Amino acid sequence: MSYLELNSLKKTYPNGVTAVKDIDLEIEKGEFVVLLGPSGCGKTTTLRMLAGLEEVTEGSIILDGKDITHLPPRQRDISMIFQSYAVWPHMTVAENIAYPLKLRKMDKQAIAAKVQEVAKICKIVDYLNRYPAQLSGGQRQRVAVARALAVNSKLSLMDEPLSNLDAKLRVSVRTFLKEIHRNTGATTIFVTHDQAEAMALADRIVVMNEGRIEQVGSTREIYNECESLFTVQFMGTPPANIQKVALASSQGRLVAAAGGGEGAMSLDLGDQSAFPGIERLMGEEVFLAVRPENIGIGEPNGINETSIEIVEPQGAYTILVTNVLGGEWKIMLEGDVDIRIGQKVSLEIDPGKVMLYDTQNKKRISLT
Amino acid sequence: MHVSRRTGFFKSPTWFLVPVVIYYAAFWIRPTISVIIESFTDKAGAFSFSNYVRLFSQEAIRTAFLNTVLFTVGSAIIQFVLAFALALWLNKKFRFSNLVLFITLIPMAFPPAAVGILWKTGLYRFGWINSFLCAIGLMNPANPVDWMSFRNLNAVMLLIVVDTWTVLPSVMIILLAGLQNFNKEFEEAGWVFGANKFQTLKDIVFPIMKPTIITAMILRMIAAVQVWLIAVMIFGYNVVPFLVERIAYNVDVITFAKYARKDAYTISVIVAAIVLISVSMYLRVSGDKQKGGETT
Amino acid sequence: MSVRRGKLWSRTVFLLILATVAGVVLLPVFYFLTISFASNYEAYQFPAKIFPTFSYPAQLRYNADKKNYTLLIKKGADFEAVKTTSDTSDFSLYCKSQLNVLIASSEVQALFDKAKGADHAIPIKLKKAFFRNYVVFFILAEGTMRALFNSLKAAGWTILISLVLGGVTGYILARYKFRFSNTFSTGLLVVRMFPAVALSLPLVVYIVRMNLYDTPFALAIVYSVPNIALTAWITSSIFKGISVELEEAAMVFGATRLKTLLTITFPLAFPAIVASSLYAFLAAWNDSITALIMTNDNPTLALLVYRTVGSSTIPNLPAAGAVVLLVPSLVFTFIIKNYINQLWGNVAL
Repeated sequence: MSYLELNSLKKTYPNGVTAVKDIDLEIEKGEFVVLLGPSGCGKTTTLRMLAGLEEVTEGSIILDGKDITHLPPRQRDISMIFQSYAVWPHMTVAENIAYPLKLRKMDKQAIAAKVQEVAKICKIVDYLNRYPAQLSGGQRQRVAVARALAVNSKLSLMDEPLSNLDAKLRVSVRTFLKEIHRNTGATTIFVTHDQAEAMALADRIVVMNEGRIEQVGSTREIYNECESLFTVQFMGTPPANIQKVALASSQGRLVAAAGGGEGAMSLDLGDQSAFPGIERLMGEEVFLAVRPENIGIGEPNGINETSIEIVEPQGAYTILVTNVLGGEWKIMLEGDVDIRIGQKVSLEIDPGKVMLYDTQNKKRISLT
Repeated sequence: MHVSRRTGFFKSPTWFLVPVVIYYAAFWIRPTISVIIESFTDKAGAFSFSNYVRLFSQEAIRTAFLNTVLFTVGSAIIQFVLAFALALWLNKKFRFSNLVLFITLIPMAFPPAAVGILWKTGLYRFGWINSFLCAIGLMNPANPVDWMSFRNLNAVMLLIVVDTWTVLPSVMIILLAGLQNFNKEFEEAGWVFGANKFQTLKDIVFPIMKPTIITAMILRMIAAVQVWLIAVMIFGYNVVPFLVERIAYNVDVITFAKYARKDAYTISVIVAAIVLISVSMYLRVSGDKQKGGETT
Repeated sequence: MSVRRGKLWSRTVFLLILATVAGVVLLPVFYFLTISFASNYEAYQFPAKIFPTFSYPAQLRYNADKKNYTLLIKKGADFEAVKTTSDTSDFSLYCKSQLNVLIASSEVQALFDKAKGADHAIPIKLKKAFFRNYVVFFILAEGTMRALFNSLKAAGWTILISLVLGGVTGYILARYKFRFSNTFSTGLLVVRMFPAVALSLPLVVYIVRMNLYDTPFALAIVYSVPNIALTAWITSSIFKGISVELEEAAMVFGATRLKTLLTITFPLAFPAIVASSLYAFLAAWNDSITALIMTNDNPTLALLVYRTVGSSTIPNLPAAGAVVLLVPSLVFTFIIKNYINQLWGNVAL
């Protein structure tokens, strides 16, 4: 039995919209789990059901062996960091941190000690007597963290806590949150739509789409072993190149063709031996997905020749745009690459990184 | 903000404000000053407090003063409690909540004279209030209550009920605006961190809403001290004296009495003073509201 | 299952509150409307009906001994004798004044003959002239139409003065920062809340001197005092919301300042201008204390309605007047209800 269990959780709003369709998830004590997905995918609704802020339509939530499905928030022993931080504006920083402790009937001295302790961790000791209006966004964020830390809850929930910060601050607070998690080992569920955030923070990522879980796994698994077309589309910046193609074999090499008829184009995916069990897919239509960083370029050699249309230098890497199979494909190369617009190149695709998806159920086609 | 493109005082666009300033000088400042002067001079034009002394020696004025205070405080308390409850309820979006909001706003649109008649048609012996009470079995049709025979405190309380019916929507709408601007996460943070619904209301919602609540209440008080029409329409003059009712009485009924004008002037100065004190309180609160900063 | 029961419970409480709120608001309104259609006879009936009636179930009886006729109207299970006469015009007059039933003497004669022929009371149907109270109050009573026009005139002048002076002020406040702009805005707020009574009384003296006493224009002068401030307040917040860049873009493309104002700014601010006008209208339309102080033979409709209440014991006629007073108020209040919210923040309605 896991520390936190979500059993076929479902949420339908009174207006008939089903935000969460069927969520099954098990989370171990001390894990940092990120719910990731586009807006409207049900991740926030799931978190709010965990918090007790949203009524559960069907299913159950078990925390530490106790069914909390229908308990009000205050009886769940949880803490939460809100998107707007929800640092109460009429209380000083110290009062904000102390209020939940007061509700827990802690004695005054213990409260004062606890406030000092978490303030030190969150580096807000100097602001304890200020009001939130006198603090910057980043400082308010730290107050929210301190307040959540102080209550020592069984479960720590975070609802897009970084989305209101500017880009630079976001990265530093991200590091800070990770550090806190490492020190406290609090079981944490973090909701975001930002994949960089998710990949940086998570022990496990839960990718969600349209009220369902698409995939659960470590950052590496989610990025490299995308089980569904949605995941491969969603993860990665720039996103993976995806094209509907027909597979064919030509002189021992695997070829993907698109367009059909006169304007047919094809892409050489490499030696067929690199794709065990591919025979059954010959002539079939599939979705082909290749990440931009898994494509290399070389001198024109007759295979996969194309010309570069756009060059976007980014300093640490360079993005090239070219026409492949009738679509606009992106190629990501390390460092500053010296390439002219219109230059002819040959594309080199890493056969081990090619991902194929079923056109019907949009699931990954396993080749082994 | 704009920097004025053209320089020079005479080309400044603020010159367009001159007509407004003149209008206010003529029709606001001048009459205000003259009414103040009138209230502090005797018939011969010499400075004196005699108007105030005479006024407060009248039983009716003292009653009017007391009634106005009673009415203002009573209606403020009742209307705040009801309006807040209603606003909290309507703020929870439910099916048809917009329709319900629409219905609750209807009384706000009633002109005072229409309110007066609406309630008069209800309060007389054969009126709809008694009819309704009989229809639901709370009253014996053989022995209806004559509400219009109510006097003193009972009459004031009756007027508070009538007033509440009319103005509750306008108080409610201010509070509802406050609640809608209220960041829901403040409340949710309260629940998550262990507060029950009552504690959240008391420790979080009320304190954060305080400026809005005070604003609504002060605006209410400004209107309440000027009550007169419903009192006169339901009970007639002299039955439930209020400050402005006394002014109307002096102007409308005893027009040619020796001190009618002087009395009316003096009472209107008192009313204006009460209103101005309330306004300055309002300004201080709304100033605090801005200083308190954005709460989101 | 306790969850289910809790739900049922909260649903019941919810419906109870809903019914109470709707009842408290709508019951008085329904009764009030009904009374405005009630005849004098109905107004004295107790308990009163919540919905208006269109006709009376009645009987006419010939009293052979006295050679006269008795009109009976159904009350509960029985019929109540309400009028006994042998004169047709007396009968007709009674029907008109007490029952709001218009029936000519000749028709009465026909009924009388029929009743005489029968040996028992004959059933007759008396159809009510439904809008009789309104006709009486507005067309037959002297001065009502004039009062209505006075109200409209006062409202028109108020709109004009408030819009011109307030609109300009609003624009200047929104677009230019000058030395006393804060003081000025605060001043406007104070004016907005200043009691009209305290102004009307001393102003009478000047108004008389200006030869304007007892005219709608004089009323408009007083109504405009708070309304200029209110208009300035509403329009300035709208002008502030209209980006200066929109104006600047027009000027960059060659429009003059005035042309920019007329073609860009004004159309964008139009809803606010309409709202301010409706506010001004309502202020003038609803007022009675200023009219009480400043008019004599030319009252406004609101004042007239107020006066009729004092002079009549049965409130059906004044109720008809009040319904007419109410209609524009109701319509306009709901048109501008979104602006009411803007005055105190933003309620989404």
